[in-house]
Amino acid sequence: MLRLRAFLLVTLLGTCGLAWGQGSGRCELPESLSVQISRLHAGYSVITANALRKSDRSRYRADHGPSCPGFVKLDFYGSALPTYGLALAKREDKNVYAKLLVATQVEKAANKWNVVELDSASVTAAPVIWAEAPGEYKDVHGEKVIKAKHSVLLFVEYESWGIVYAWNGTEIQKVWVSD
Amino acid sequence: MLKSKAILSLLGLALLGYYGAASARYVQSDPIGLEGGVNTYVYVANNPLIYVDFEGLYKYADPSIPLVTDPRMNQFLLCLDSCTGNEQTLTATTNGKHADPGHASGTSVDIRPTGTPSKQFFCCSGNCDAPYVLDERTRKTRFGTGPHFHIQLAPPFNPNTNSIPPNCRPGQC
Repeated sequence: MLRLRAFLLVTLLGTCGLAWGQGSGRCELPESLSVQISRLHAGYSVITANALRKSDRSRYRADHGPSCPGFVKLDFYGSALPTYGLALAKREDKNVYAKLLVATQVEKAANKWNVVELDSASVTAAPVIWAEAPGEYKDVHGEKVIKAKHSVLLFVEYESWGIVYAWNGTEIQKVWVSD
Repeated sequence: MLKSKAILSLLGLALLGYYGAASARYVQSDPIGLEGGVNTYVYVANNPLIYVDFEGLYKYADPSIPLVTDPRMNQFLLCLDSCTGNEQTLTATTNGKHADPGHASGTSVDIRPTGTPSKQFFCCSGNCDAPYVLDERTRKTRFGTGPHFHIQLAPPFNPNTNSIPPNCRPGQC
């Protein structure tokens, strides 16, 4: 009996350790979305904690815990539909390319997703994303201001640049909160 | 006689580790070693014939950060090291994702705010001929984007957000 308990304990700890060690457990997309992203953005993958630089990973973990740095659920459009922000990246030789997407499930039964590409760029290191509350966001150089009615999406390369994206009902607005 | 003197001079340099006879160029890597990054030749942009970083030893926070290519920026960073008495750490140089054209053209950098009091940093930046420094240590959102100082050598500048005190002029350091 004691042996059985020990075996179960070791098995349980081992499984938890594996999931944490992989660092991508929280980056698992709904399967239908994953298929669509793979088809539309071949070569790119969702940014996981393991893809971040060590210092960026520590910073992200301190602020966001075990969340996925490339995948976040948010109410971007103010609709009742399931909506996710996604940060993808691919490496070619020494270059890293990143994309920012917003995916909305338009037909639950058919698992159809409307995927919009908000931005794409050559980057120095893998960026991260997270959601912020509606409100006022001001350009870092002090000129432009956007007033967001719904949740906004942050796209950030730590210690370098950061952009807020918001839907104002007719178009997507963006403002640089870090440069 | 002259020829033998030249040979002796080159031999001396070779013994000191400064000169590689085979490559006919200076080969010594950054004396701060791996503290300045994995590539110890980064301090001269991988090309000892372009920049000579004898005085300042500014370093890159990560080997993936593109090297400073603009001579004016290189000169500014050397001056900043000398003025602050600290080795500054660059967190960004050129980057296609940056909004202002300065980053794309190599005339803007981001620096990690460590080792130098901010007032001294801002004044030294002005002394070293930087027209615009943006203090990006405060959080603009719920979570931080990584505190840094943004240095920009080329316009456009917003005078309302510039952190350089008006009395900190070039050459006063």
